[in-house]
Amino acid sequence: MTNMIGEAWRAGKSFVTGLNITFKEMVFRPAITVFYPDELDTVPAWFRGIPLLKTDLLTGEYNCTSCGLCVEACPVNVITLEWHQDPITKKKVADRYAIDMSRCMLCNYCIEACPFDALVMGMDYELCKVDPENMVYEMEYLLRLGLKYSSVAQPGPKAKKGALPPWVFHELTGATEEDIQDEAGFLGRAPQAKGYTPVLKAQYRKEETVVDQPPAPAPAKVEAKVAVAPAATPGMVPPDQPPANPGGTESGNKDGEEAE
Amino acid sequence: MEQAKELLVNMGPQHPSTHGVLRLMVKLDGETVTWCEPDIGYLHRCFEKLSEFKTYPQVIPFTDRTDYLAAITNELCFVEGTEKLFGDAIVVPERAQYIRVLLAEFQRICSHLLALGAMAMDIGAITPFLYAWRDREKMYSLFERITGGRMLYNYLRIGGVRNDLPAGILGTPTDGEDKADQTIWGFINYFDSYVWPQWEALVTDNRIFQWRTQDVGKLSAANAIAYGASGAVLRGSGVKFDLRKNLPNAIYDRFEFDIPVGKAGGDCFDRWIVRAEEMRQSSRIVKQALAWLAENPGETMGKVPRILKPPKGEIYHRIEGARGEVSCYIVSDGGTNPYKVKWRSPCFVHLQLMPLICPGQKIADVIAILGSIDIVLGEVDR
Amino acid sequence: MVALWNNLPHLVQIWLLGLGKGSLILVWCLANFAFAMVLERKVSAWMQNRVGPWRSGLHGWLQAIPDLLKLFVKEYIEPRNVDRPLFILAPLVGFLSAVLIWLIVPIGPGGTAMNLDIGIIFIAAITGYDVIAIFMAGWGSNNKYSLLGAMRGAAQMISYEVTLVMSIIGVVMMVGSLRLSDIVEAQVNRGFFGWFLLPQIIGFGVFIIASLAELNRAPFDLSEAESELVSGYHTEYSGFRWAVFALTEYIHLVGWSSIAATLFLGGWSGPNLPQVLQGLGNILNGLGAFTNVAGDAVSNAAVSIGFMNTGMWAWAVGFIWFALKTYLFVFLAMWIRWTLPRVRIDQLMDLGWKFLLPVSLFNIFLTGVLRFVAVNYNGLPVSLGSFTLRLLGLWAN
Repeated sequence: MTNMIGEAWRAGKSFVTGLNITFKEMVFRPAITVFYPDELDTVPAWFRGIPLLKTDLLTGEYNCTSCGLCVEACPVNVITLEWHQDPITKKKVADRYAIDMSRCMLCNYCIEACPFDALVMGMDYELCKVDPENMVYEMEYLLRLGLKYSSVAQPGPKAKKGALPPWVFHELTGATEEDIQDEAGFLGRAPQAKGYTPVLKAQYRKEETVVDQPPAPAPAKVEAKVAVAPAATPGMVPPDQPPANPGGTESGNKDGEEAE
Repeated sequence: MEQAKELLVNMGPQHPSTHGVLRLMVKLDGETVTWCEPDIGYLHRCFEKLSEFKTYPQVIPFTDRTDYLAAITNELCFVEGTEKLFGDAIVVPERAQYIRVLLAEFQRICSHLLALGAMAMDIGAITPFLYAWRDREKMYSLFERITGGRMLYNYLRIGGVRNDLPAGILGTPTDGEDKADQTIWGFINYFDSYVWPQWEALVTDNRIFQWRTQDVGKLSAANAIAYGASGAVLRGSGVKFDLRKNLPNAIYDRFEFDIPVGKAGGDCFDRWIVRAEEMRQSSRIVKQALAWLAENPGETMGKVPRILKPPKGEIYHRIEGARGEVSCYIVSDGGTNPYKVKWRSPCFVHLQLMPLICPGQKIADVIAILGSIDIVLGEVDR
Repeated sequence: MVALWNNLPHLVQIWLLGLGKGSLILVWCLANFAFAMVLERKVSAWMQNRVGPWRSGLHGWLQAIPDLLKLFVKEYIEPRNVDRPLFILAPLVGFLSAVLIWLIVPIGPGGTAMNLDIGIIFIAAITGYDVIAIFMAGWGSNNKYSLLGAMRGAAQMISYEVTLVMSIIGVVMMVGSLRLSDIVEAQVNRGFFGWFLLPQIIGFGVFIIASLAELNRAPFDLSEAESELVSGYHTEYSGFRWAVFALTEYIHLVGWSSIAATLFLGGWSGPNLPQVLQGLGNILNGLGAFTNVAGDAVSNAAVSIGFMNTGMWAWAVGFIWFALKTYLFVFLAMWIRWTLPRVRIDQLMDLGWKFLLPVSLFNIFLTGVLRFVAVNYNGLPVSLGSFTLRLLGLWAN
């Protein structure tokens, strides 16, 4: 009898405690819901999304040299690479670079394997397709999405010890598809021969604040290249890290390392 | 007169609470279970055979996918096993060791949160499950910032970890709940001050929960050892055995923590209590690791050859995963691919306990037992 | 209009009245379903740090309409070898039992569709239909889970019906009538502290637990325990047939809540605006000369809106109080559902037969003793409660 009353008391007490907790959660705690289509959740800079191809925005050439290391590194064999040798430049030119995203594990091995910093894990995550057959992303698509993650000058693969590894993009240029204008059709072009000097055009829409800033000191040779840009399309200069070290793979890019 | 027959019920493969794709064949006499047999294999992905055709680093993302709720511990098992194969050739930097332990223990909290939440939901309390989910999302945000992936990290590497911790992720010991999804200290403090007491009050102390779990699914210590149980199931039966203490891998011998054991003879509530207490012990370990990591910067990747070719030999490596003893047996023939990988998953072993402890219980208890042994079907089938 | 009505034959009057009342009850039930269902989802969402339905209507409060529309156009999936008559009829029988409760609930002063003098017994009788519905659904579905759920449901509801009626008997003893409107009137006369909530606190507790079990709601939702039995007795139902089960569940919930409000919280009784103002004025006057001006003003205001004491106004106030009290219990049921785990079938039976039934019998005994004391010693407990109210001016006489 006492046992029963004690049990009833204990049970009642624990129920009241529980009810109190849920009531407090109801009244005092805000909802944690993210209203998805209206507001997009942010992803950290290290986010591993779809692997994308990077472009050197200065020359418009994609960084990929068709070496095939990513294909070898892929544990699930989703990367297809077909190439031919350019008879003039004697370089490999990729004919087809496709990733079957329906099977990709997003393991990052392809990016780690790439010695030319040609691949990046994108932050894009709304890549749904109605038909799973369409999940094979071709080179053009990867290059176009990858433009956002490309910068004027990429740091070399072994730029600085102890910093973030180069295959994690540390510099999101923040360019939208609108900003990336490709009037001369440079972008997505195979690497050219060494002596080749491209006729340059600004890739970015100018930001107002940038105009007043004094141009940063830069190597003379490169500055000459960049200087063409405002002339070609007035009022347009690359806003992001102006010619601090544009073509400099040899000296590395110190600014890029610190940003996280 | 026709004899009363038993009712054979197929729970699953499509059933709300079989934790994945599991088929439990249950014979019922009224509400009482007389016979129970798990039928597995719906999620088989040939992990072991597949590993023979991949190089050593390429196997790591596949180990993530065995127990996808505690991916780091699986990676740790395979990576440490491979390093053992190399002998002295690969030296893992100390900081990398600490990061490994930090993440493994953080992962254990994460995994146990879901285990407790799923068990509470199996018993009928849906709100605790949602709370578990809420807090787990915060942990996943942290994991995402550290490793780049939310569930499947592919973060550990043979010889270290893939990258150092990003700046500011550790936080300071004064970080509170507002930073729970930004710094590890923030989450740990939030966990200690809010999450754990809430679980205690909302579920553990709840009398209905105790009625449902106490004296249900009893597993004696002798049976637990005989069936090869490990982890919280073994400790819930009162056996004080934890590989982190008894056979420390990595640098677990440098940390202070206790091993909780069940006291009531291995029922579902014991397993629950052990899991809940283990989360607190894990938070202790995480705090110690955080204190060390904040003061000791350094390399996170040891010197490893570009092409990994372990010397000829074989190795059996066992570590304490979130669900029990995860271990792997790797045979190397000196090539780039492992000759053979055998994966021992605790869930596979624990699922075999179902025919032992289910008969005599009610059908609702079957679900409670299933929740208490905390299986992940991806690991059962591999 | 009145003349036209009076000229109609008696039989036609009865039929027309019945049709009108029936339609009103149906509309009222559907409105309650729409609100209670969204409320359930909202309450669960708030408790779980979510927002719940959000898109249809303002913050999703019209979610019931698209839900019902969707269920209406869905396919009716019928498994092989179902017992077709049972399978199709079962939702309707359950719906009937849920709706019929509303026949006798006084939703305002004199607002009862049928003022039955056997109200409580009528409730007990109606509840029996629900068991039949659940068992029809479970047996007709040709599914093992459904059968298990139906067996559980039948066992549970039959055993808790006994406890439920026993817990109400205390109230009936205090009032001396089975008629629900009499029970409300008794509580109106007794004042706030005379509501049967406090004098019948044991009966109230037993009633709440037993009615949760009777309603198949958590923590006693064994017949549709989704973690064990998929969905229990309505596993095989789809489309609008399933929707009728959902309708039943919520109409039942609101119906039982209204009965709980009627029995224990004084139904539609409650202070209206003039009474509140009068009480406020009394308090202000009692504080001293300083506040007398304000007190007089408030009292005068109370007198000037005294028309609210009578007629349609009184009815409206009564209805509002009734709805508030009803939804207090609805919220309580949801609150409990989203907090507590589910009990097991044997524990449920133990709780019902070994604990609640003895307790409710003890309550009957206790009520009898206290009633004896109250009658023979000039209503001691009643006067204690009413004393406080007289101070506040809330009690008229």
